[in-house]
Amino acid sequence: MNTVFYSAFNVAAQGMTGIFIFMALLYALILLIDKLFPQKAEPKK
Amino acid sequence: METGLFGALIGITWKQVVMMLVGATLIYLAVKKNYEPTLLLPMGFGAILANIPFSSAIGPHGIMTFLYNVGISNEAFPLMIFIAIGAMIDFSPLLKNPILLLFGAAAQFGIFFTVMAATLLGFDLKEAASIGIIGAADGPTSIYVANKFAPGLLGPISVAAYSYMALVPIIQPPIIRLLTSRKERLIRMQMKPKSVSRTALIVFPVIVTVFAGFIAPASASLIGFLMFGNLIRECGVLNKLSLAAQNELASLVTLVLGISIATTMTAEKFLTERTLFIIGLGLIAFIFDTAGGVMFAKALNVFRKKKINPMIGAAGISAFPMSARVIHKMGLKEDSSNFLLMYATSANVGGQIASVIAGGLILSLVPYFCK
Repeated sequence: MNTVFYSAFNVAAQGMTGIFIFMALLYALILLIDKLFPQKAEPKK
Repeated sequence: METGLFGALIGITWKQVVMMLVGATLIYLAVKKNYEPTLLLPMGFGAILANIPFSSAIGPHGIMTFLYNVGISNEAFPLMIFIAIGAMIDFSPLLKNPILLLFGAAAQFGIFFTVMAATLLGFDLKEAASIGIIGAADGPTSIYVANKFAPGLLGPISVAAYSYMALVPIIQPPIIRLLTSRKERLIRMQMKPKSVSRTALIVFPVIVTVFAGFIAPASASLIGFLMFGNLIRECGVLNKLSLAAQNELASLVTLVLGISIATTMTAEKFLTERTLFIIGLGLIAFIFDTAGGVMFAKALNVFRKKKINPMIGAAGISAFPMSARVIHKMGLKEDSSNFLLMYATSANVGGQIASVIAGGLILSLVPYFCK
């Protein structure tokens, strides 16, 4: 095992964590957008 | 260089002949097998053109070198492609089933696994990151990252990225079958999709850009151009521009993108042992992406009452819409009344965002560890 591998391991660990955090926050953001801008019911004709 | 008539015939090397055969193979795969023809055909032809001895197409004053400098070196072409892709994507399936975003994250596992594997084969961290990003299953992101970190490897990385994207229907099914039981593949999705307002669709690209920009500024241009294209699509007042981005812009940039990349496919740069490693590692990236998505879905099912069909996890890779279609077909094969397309598409769109974010994170993290 060399230092480059350990750096790659750190990139992998932080990268995967970063993506999950980003996507989880984006999920929360979508829920917020949905609350702020809900689909209005179509007016009855 | 002045070579006189037939100078190229005297000056040709066996490596250049091999590269011309590689170019011909790419053209064959594009034409006969329909494997990503928009990219592989120009790359194949460009590879032939670049390997003609004393070719005027490459070198300091060659047109291919010029196109490479104006479009690839400064990342303009991949970013312009992102505008086109953004204009083509409909994010509403994702906004209807936002939980499926997480599969986009899980299915980027192959990228990071491959980064580690590449370092064990002797690549430095920047090269390994460029190879790992093949697993983004997203050509422009691969080109963008490779050009920043390892421009010398751009040729083989692009060939691997686009070839494996075309091979998704062959790569994914055996991995999915290996990791899932028939009972799991028969699971019916019980999520009720919500309806999405037009305002939400317009606000989404703006918010994602700002949000991604703050978290990983290195991803700002990638995600920004993708979302810019999507805003043009969703705003409803730029239909002409949206169509132009989806058709003319996509066609024109793709046309020159492939042939520009071929500038790096000269025999001395391409015909090395490292190219074989890159092709192999690219396959590993796709396999572990698929496995990451499936295993994440299985892990989620341990805690969920309403089970998720784990095949949906595999659609979290960015190869859109190919991966979603593969999952849908596999679902129908197991049970002809189990329609997974909508859910697989949501995960697939999530994968498109996640792959760009993965690219941005790699661009941010790698320089930090190279200090």
